Amino acid sequence: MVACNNFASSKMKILNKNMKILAFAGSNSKKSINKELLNYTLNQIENAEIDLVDINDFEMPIYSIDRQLENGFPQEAQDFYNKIKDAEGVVISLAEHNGNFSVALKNILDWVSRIEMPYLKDKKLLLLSTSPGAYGGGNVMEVATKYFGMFASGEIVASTTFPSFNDNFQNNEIVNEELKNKVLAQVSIFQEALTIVEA
Amino acid sequence: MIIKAFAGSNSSTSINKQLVTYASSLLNKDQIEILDLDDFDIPTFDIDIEKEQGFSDEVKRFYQKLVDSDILLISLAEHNACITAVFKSYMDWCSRINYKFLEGKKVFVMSTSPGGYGAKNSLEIGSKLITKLGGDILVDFSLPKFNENFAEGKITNEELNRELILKIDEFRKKI
Repeated sequence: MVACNNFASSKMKILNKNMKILAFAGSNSKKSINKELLNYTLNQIENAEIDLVDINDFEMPIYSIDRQLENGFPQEAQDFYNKIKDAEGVVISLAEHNGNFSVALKNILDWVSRIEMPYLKDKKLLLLSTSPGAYGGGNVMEVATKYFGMFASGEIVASTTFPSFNDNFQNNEIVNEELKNKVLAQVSIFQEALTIVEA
Repeated sequence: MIIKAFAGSNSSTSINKQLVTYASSLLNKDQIEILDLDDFDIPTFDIDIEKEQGFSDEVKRFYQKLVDSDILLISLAEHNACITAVFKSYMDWCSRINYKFLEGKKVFVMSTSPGGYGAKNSLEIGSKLITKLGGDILVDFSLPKFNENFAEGKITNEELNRELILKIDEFRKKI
């Protein structure tokens, strides 16, 4: 009975509940443009408890089966894995190096995947990518869509590439109206997907 | 003709190293240098390290090994449906010295894994990368279910062995 009476207010409470989001840029560059795009995007997300991490803080030796067998998992791998497990949603902005993930990110994913695979089950993802070029990291987006979606079993609910970063992003703001609307639309879809799950 | 061979793996028991060593023996040329990525101490690619310190001697040493070759045999291990971080990092570093550093190299690219797909995801992604860096891939080959099909230094499955021999012949004619 009490549950019935409280239905409306409890639903409201759920909608207001802070979503737990893990966010990181797939770059180890100090001047990462993907970090800039990520920060902008995170600022558009409401009602969220955001854990923004720098992958430089999870630098590990390059994955090798010999290292794993001899020394087990580095603490950084465990920590990163725990952060993923704690999150309901994950926002990633991907740097592209030679058409693929940066090694800095790939290495973390390789270590984490050895703890558990697939490790993104039930996680909802917002994927972004940007580059100075006109393709905006389209190649790494393709690789990542396949990898995070098919192999790591994440649910990619929203994604967009962001071309020609230096032309379209200035002073922490997207200056191209069309691209701005595109990013905001993906943020809305992502936020809605997380909210529906909770309700 | 300078021929070099290596596996895109840093495992001390790399099955790709075993495959590329066998393929090298079939090519039957006098001198083939088998490289091991583990003999080089190259960290994760980092643009800030490059800006602050330039290229390390180890990066230059690996780069020079590849540049000083005409023919490359490469067998790609697969981690997470992709090339390994170690192979990717080495390629990223070298590509920063000269983006087309594999220009003019004739390449035989292979892959193997314990699974039925034989690391074909890695073969596909790695081939794209090698091509982008200027390499000329003439032939490729993938060996599925390594543990069932390979023993004591060679392929034990006759059909697959014949396939590799034919592809090596094809490669020999093209180089």
